[in-house]
Amino acid sequence: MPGSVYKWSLNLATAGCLVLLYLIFSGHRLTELAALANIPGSQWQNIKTVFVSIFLEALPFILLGVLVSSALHLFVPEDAIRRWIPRNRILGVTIACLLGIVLPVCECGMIPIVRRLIRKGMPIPVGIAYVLAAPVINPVTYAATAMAFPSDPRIAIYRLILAFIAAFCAGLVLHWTLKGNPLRPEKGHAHRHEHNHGHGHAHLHTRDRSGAVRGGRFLSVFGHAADEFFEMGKFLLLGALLTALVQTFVSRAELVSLSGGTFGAHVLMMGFAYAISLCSTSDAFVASSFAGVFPKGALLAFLVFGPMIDFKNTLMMLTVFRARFVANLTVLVAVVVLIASLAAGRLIG
Amino acid sequence: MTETLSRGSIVVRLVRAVILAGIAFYIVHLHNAGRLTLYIAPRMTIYVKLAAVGLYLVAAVLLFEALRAWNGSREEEACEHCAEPARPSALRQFALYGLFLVPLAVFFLTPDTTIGSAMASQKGMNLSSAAGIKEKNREPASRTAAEEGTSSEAPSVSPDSAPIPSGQDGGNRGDGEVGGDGGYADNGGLGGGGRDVPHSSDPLDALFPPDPFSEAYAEYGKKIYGSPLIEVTEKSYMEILTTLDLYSGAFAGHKVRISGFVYRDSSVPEDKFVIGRFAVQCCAADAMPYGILVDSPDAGLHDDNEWLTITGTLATTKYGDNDVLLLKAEEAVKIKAPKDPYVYGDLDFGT
Repeated sequence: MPGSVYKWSLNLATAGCLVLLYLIFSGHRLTELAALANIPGSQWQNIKTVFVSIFLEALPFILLGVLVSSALHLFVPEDAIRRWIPRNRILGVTIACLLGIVLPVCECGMIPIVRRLIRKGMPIPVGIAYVLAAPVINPVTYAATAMAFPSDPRIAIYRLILAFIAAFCAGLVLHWTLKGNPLRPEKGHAHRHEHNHGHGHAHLHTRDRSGAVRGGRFLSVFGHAADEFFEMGKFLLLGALLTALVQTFVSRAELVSLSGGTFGAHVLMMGFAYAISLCSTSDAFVASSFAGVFPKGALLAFLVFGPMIDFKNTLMMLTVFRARFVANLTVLVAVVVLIASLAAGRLIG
Repeated sequence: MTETLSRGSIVVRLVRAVILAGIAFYIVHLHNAGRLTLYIAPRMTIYVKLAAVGLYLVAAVLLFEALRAWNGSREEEACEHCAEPARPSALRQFALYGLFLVPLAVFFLTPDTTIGSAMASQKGMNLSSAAGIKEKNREPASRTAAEEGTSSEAPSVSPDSAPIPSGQDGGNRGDGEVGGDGGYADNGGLGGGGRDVPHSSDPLDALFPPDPFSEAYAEYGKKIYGSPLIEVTEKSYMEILTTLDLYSGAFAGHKVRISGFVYRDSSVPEDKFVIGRFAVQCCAADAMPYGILVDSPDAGLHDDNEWLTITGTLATTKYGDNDVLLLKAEEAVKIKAPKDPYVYGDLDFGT
């Protein structure tokens, strides 16, 4: 299938370009890449440790995500979601931003679930607002942030507020500007799913009463989950590997030396958050280690941008949305977070 | 919808079942060998173990489906076309499952080690674990410096980093608090109170001026102040280091014992090295190295990544632009690397 080869090579090329850009900007000479082949053993071990730990850490959440998504697919009727979501989009986006308080799912588990919800009729701005907001606006992340910044409780509160602003703005902008369907028409796979639905439902209704079929349906939740697991899992693996490479080869001192002025620090911290792809519950501790090196506003930019958009979840989003949509969304969120965190930086001092 | 499951899709299911079971088995294997905590913090391991159970379940269902398809008894399958995996080209399938199988094989076949000195250098060894708290207190004075993006790693230069209860220091403290919120005014009062009589009769209050952000550390500081040897334990590693750093003035001259790995970089003088450990929140990817500068005549004898227990006297020194703790080693004992090399936040601290 030439299309699938294209899809793959595009993703890999994008990832490769990002790494190259990163290396160029961090002052590495490209000739150093040639030295990758003779990385000392201890560095390989570091790569393995970070790689395995990110993979294992994300595993439970991805698995939960694909199981919930499969269950939604098989047990929730097609238009149910559409009926639950308020007609008024602005209200819908607002609720989506706050949904994480009751339904906290971390970013890894989020993408399969939201894809399913969108296919079930959740409006895209609402779905995106949920994806962006829920990893930050939830009690677990708040508690972790407050713990990481014991001396300044404002950081945790500002993080929530900024995340709300960013997700809300992104949702609204999408609501006003989005035309057409940004979901990736998955070659073969998704089509067959959708196309089969008509048939599938006819079947199921006639057979629903028999217990045996019910059991089969329950089992097929797992079958489905396996499909989605492999779909997301390959990007998790790639993301974890590239993150491990970045963590092993890009030093913090070099990073810090790159930033000039407040603006530079904000941009740098957002880039850093993107590259290291940490979970929203642990990134606050990494941010707190930068306290004093960078202004508070830049730490907030790191804390808000990272959980919304990072390397790992860009790759996973690309399985769901068209590349162009993902790129636009990334720019949109980056701009909103940058402006909001600069403003917050002035306020917080 | 009545086409039989092709042999190809049976194979795909079997391959998937093998991969999922393989991942689950890897987790179990790490757990049994006691090495899961090399990757995942103990408080998160339960989720990873649950994931292993989930993966086994999914693998079992795939296996069951494959067997059923093999036997040709497909009548009861309710939604078989949905469960049927996508069938792209053989080459792509090969690449996809290879992407899972290769790392899995590498995971199994390479030894599990920990991140060490090299990683600490990339992440930046933190020699002032109380920087976050101190930074708050010195905030009004040096805000501009921070905003200009100075590249000092762990700033601790501040009038109150050495909280000696002299009148002058108290005065500085008061100045620093202008513009802060209510919490500091209190602090300033106590700092000055070293000269007058503070509202508490405990003489140690002067040495450990409590403020809302460091109360637990102040309490702990008072508790260990009198002990002949302060041991930086594994359980409260970060908390004890933070206490010592926060009240470095009060603890100067005290005996301290600490274990960790040897770390050096180009900025560490030849007669010194750092003893540090990685503090982990969720997984090894978020590990941050924290340590203490050690002054030892035998510094050259110890290799990077060697594990040592150092007993010595506490002092402070200038490191770059910052005041950091310095441990003047009196005794250095080689130890075996602990089974769990990382340290974690102590949830019982201050309770």
